[in-house]
Amino acid sequence: MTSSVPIRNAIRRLRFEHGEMTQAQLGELAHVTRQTIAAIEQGKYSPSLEVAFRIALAFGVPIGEVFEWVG
Amino acid sequence: MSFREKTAWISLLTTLAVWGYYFIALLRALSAGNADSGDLLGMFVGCVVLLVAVQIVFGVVVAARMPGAASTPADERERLIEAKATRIAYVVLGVGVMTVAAVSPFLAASAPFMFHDASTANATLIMANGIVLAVVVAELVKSGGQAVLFRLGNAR
Repeated sequence: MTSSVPIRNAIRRLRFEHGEMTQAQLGELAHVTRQTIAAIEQGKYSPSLEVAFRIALAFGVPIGEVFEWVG
Repeated sequence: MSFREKTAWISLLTTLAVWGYYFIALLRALSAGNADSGDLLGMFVGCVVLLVAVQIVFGVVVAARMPGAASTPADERERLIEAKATRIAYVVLGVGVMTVAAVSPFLAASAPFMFHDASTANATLIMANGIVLAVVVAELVKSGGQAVLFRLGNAR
Protein backbone atom coordinates (compact mmCIF):
# COMPACT_ATOMS: atom_id res chain seq x y z
CA MET A 1 0.00 0.00 0.00
CA THR A 2 1.50 3.32 -1.10
CA SER A 3 1.30 6.09 1.45
CA SER A 4 2.13 9.74 1.12
CA VAL A 5 0.58 11.00 4.37
CA PRO A 6 1.89 10.36 7.90
CA ILE A 7 -1.40 8.81 9.01
CA ARG A 8 -2.09 5.10 9.03
CA ASN A 9 -5.68 3.88 8.95
CA ALA A 10 -7.53 0.65 9.64
CA ILE A 11 -10.43 1.33 7.31
CA ARG A 12 -9.98 -1.75 5.15
CA ARG A 13 -9.85 -4.07 8.16
CA LEU A 14 -12.83 -2.34 9.79
CA ARG A 15 -14.86 -2.61 6.58
CA PHE A 16 -14.35 -6.36 6.50
CA GLU A 17 -15.16 -6.66 10.17
CA HIS A 18 -18.43 -4.78 9.64
CA GLY A 19 -20.19 -7.16 7.31
CA GLU A 20 -17.71 -6.71 4.47
CA MET A 21 -18.87 -3.16 3.94
CA THR A 22 -17.95 -1.88 0.50
CA GLN A 23 -16.06 1.34 -0.16
CA ALA A 24 -19.17 2.73 -1.82
CA GLN A 25 -21.31 1.98 1.24
CA LEU A 26 -18.78 3.61 3.54
CA GLY A 27 -18.58 6.55 1.16
CA GLU A 28 -22.32 7.08 1.40
CA LEU A 29 -22.17 7.07 5.18
CA ALA A 30 -19.23 9.48 5.21
CA HIS A 31 -20.69 11.70 2.44
CA VAL A 32 -17.74 11.19 0.11
CA THR A 33 -17.25 9.22 -3.11
CA ARG A 34 -16.03 5.65 -3.33
CA GLN A 35 -12.86 6.95 -4.96
CA THR A 36 -12.18 9.23 -1.98
CA ILE A 37 -12.55 6.28 0.41
CA ALA A 38 -10.13 4.33 -1.79
CA ALA A 39 -7.64 7.22 -1.73
CA ILE A 40 -7.91 7.44 2.08
CA GLU A 41 -7.38 3.67 2.45
CA GLN A 42 -4.31 3.81 0.24
CA GLY A 43 -2.86 6.66 2.26
CA LYS A 44 -3.01 9.05 -0.68
CA TYR A 45 -5.42 11.47 0.91
CA SER A 46 -5.96 12.79 4.45
CA PRO A 47 -9.66 13.39 5.10
CA SER A 48 -10.93 16.42 6.95
CA LEU A 49 -11.81 16.08 10.61
CA GLU A 50 -15.48 15.97 9.74
CA VAL A 51 -15.07 13.08 7.28
CA ALA A 52 -12.73 11.25 9.67
CA PHE A 53 -15.38 11.48 12.41
CA ARG A 54 -18.11 10.32 10.01
CA ILE A 55 -16.00 7.28 9.09
CA ALA A 56 -15.42 6.44 12.75
CA LEU A 57 -19.13 6.91 13.40
CA ALA A 58 -19.97 4.54 10.54
CA PHE A 59 -17.92 1.83 12.28
CA GLY A 60 -19.13 2.77 15.73
CA VAL A 61 -15.58 3.10 17.07
CA PRO A 62 -13.50 5.98 18.45
CA ILE A 63 -11.65 7.96 15.81
CA GLY A 64 -8.32 6.86 17.28
CA GLU A 65 -9.14 3.27 16.35
CA VAL A 66 -9.54 4.26 12.71
CA PHE A 67 -6.62 6.66 12.26
CA GLU A 68 -3.14 6.59 13.76
CA TRP A 69 -0.41 9.22 13.47
CA VAL A 70 2.86 7.64 12.33
CA GLY A 71 4.72 10.77 11.29
CA MET B 1 -13.61 6.40 -12.55
CA SER B 2 -15.76 8.97 -10.76
CA PHE B 3 -18.23 11.24 -12.56
CA ARG B 4 -16.03 14.28 -12.10
CA GLU B 5 -12.93 12.48 -13.35
CA LYS B 6 -14.83 11.46 -16.49
CA THR B 7 -15.98 15.07 -16.92
CA ALA B 8 -12.36 16.26 -16.64
CA TRP B 9 -11.22 13.79 -19.30
CA ILE B 10 -14.09 14.80 -21.59
CA SER B 11 -13.15 18.45 -21.22
CA LEU B 12 -9.47 17.74 -21.84
CA LEU B 13 -9.93 15.59 -24.93
CA THR B 14 -12.67 17.65 -26.60
CA THR B 15 -10.80 20.93 -26.00
CA LEU B 16 -7.64 19.42 -27.45
CA ALA B 17 -9.47 18.06 -30.50
CA VAL B 18 -11.58 21.12 -31.37
CA TRP B 19 -9.03 23.84 -30.65
CA GLY B 20 -6.22 21.71 -32.06
CA TYR B 21 -8.11 21.60 -35.36
CA TYR B 22 -8.74 25.36 -35.20
CA PHE B 23 -5.14 26.38 -34.58
CA ILE B 24 -3.75 23.98 -37.18
CA ALA B 25 -6.17 25.48 -39.72
CA LEU B 26 -5.16 28.97 -38.63
CA LEU B 27 -1.44 28.22 -39.01
CA ARG B 28 -2.03 26.77 -42.48
CA ALA B 29 -3.99 29.84 -43.53
CA LEU B 30 -1.33 32.21 -42.21
CA SER B 31 1.46 30.20 -43.83
CA ALA B 32 -0.35 30.19 -47.16
CA GLY B 33 -0.88 33.94 -46.88
CA ASN B 34 -4.65 33.66 -47.38
CA ALA B 35 -5.91 34.23 -43.86
CA ASP B 36 -9.31 35.87 -44.22
CA SER B 37 -10.64 37.49 -41.07
CA GLY B 38 -14.24 36.68 -41.93
CA ASP B 39 -13.52 33.01 -42.58
CA LEU B 40 -11.44 32.68 -39.43
CA LEU B 41 -14.10 34.37 -37.31
CA GLY B 42 -16.66 31.95 -38.72
CA MET B 43 -14.39 29.02 -37.91
CA PHE B 44 -13.81 30.39 -34.39
CA VAL B 45 -17.53 30.71 -33.70
CA GLY B 46 -18.13 27.28 -35.21
CA CYS B 47 -15.50 25.74 -32.93
CA VAL B 48 -16.99 27.37 -29.84
CA VAL B 49 -20.46 26.07 -30.75
CA LEU B 50 -19.08 22.61 -31.59
CA LEU B 51 -17.11 22.37 -28.35
CA VAL B 52 -20.10 23.37 -26.23
CA ALA B 53 -22.38 20.93 -28.09
CA VAL B 54 -19.93 18.02 -27.85
CA GLN B 55 -19.27 18.59 -24.15
CA ILE B 56 -23.00 18.80 -23.43
CA VAL B 57 -23.68 15.57 -25.32
CA PHE B 58 -20.86 13.66 -23.61
CA GLY B 59 -21.84 15.16 -20.26
CA VAL B 60 -25.44 14.03 -20.67
CA VAL B 61 -24.33 10.52 -21.70
CA VAL B 62 -22.05 10.18 -18.68
CA ALA B 63 -24.68 11.64 -16.34
CA ALA B 64 -27.29 9.21 -17.69
CA ARG B 65 -25.00 6.29 -16.91
CA MET B 66 -24.19 7.64 -13.43
CA PRO B 67 -27.39 9.41 -12.34
CA GLY B 68 -26.67 9.43 -8.62
CA ALA B 69 -23.12 10.71 -9.01
CA ALA B 70 -24.09 13.49 -11.41
CA SER B 71 -26.60 15.02 -9.02
CA THR B 72 -24.39 14.71 -5.95
CA PRO B 73 -22.27 17.75 -5.03
CA ALA B 74 -18.48 17.38 -5.26
CA ASP B 75 -16.94 15.94 -2.10
CA GLU B 76 -14.00 17.55 -0.27
CA ARG B 77 -11.29 15.72 -2.23
CA GLU B 78 -12.91 16.59 -5.56
CA ARG B 79 -13.25 20.25 -4.53
CA LEU B 80 -9.59 20.26 -3.50
CA ILE B 81 -8.51 18.77 -6.83
CA GLU B 82 -10.58 21.27 -8.78
CA ALA B 83 -9.23 24.20 -6.75
CA LYS B 84 -5.62 23.07 -7.19
CA ALA B 85 -5.98 22.61 -10.95
CA THR B 86 -7.74 25.97 -11.31
CA ARG B 87 -5.01 27.73 -9.34
CA ILE B 88 -2.29 26.35 -11.62
CA ALA B 89 -4.33 27.15 -14.74
CA TYR B 90 -4.79 30.73 -13.58
CA VAL B 91 -1.03 31.19 -13.41
CA VAL B 92 -0.67 29.71 -16.90
CA LEU B 93 -3.37 32.07 -18.19
CA GLY B 94 -1.61 35.05 -16.66
CA VAL B 95 1.72 34.09 -18.20
CA GLY B 96 0.08 33.51 -21.58
CA VAL B 97 -1.77 36.81 -21.68
CA MET B 98 1.28 38.79 -20.49
CA THR B 99 3.39 37.08 -23.15
CA VAL B 100 0.93 38.13 -25.87
CA ALA B 101 0.91 41.66 -24.48
CA ALA B 102 4.71 41.80 -24.43
CA VAL B 103 5.08 40.41 -27.95
CA SER B 104 2.32 42.51 -29.53
CA PRO B 105 4.34 45.69 -30.22
CA PHE B 106 7.09 43.69 -31.95
CA LEU B 107 4.51 41.72 -33.91
CA ALA B 108 2.77 44.88 -35.09
CA ALA B 109 6.07 46.37 -36.17
CA SER B 110 7.18 43.30 -38.08
CA ALA B 111 3.80 42.45 -39.61
CA PRO B 112 4.44 44.24 -42.96
CA PHE B 113 7.60 42.18 -43.39
CA MET B 114 6.10 38.88 -42.18
CA PHE B 115 2.99 38.96 -44.31
CA HIS B 116 2.42 39.69 -47.97
CA ASP B 117 0.39 42.82 -47.39
CA ALA B 118 1.37 45.87 -45.35
CA SER B 119 -1.84 46.01 -43.34
CA THR B 120 -1.80 45.28 -39.66
CA ALA B 121 -4.87 43.04 -39.99
CA ASN B 122 -2.81 39.85 -39.79
CA ALA B 123 -0.87 41.12 -36.80
CA THR B 124 -4.15 41.90 -35.06
CA LEU B 125 -5.43 38.46 -36.00
CA ILE B 126 -2.38 36.82 -34.46
CA MET B 127 -2.62 38.86 -31.28
CA ALA B 128 -6.30 38.00 -30.85
CA ASN B 129 -5.64 34.33 -31.48
CA GLY B 130 -2.68 34.52 -29.12
CA ILE B 131 -5.07 35.45 -26.35
CA VAL B 132 -7.44 32.67 -27.39
CA LEU B 133 -4.49 30.26 -27.33
CA ALA B 134 -3.59 31.41 -23.80
CA VAL B 135 -7.16 30.72 -22.65
CA VAL B 136 -7.21 27.31 -24.38
CA VAL B 137 -3.86 26.27 -22.90
CA ALA B 138 -5.04 27.34 -19.44
CA GLU B 139 -8.20 25.28 -19.88
CA LEU B 140 -6.12 22.28 -20.98
CA VAL B 141 -3.90 22.69 -17.91
CA LYS B 142 -6.99 22.88 -15.69
CA SER B 143 -8.80 19.84 -17.05
CA GLY B 144 -5.55 17.91 -17.57
CA GLY B 145 -4.44 18.73 -14.06
CA GLN B 146 -7.75 17.51 -12.69
CA ALA B 147 -7.56 14.30 -14.71
CA VAL B 148 -4.02 13.56 -13.47
CA LEU B 149 -4.83 14.35 -9.84
CA PHE B 150 -7.96 12.19 -9.98
CA ARG B 151 -5.91 9.33 -11.48
CA LEU B 152 -3.21 9.63 -8.85
CA GLY B 153 -5.82 9.76 -6.11
CA ASN B 154 -3.65 12.32 -4.39
CA ALA B 155 -5.26 15.72 -3.89
CA ARG B 156 -2.16 17.24 -2.27
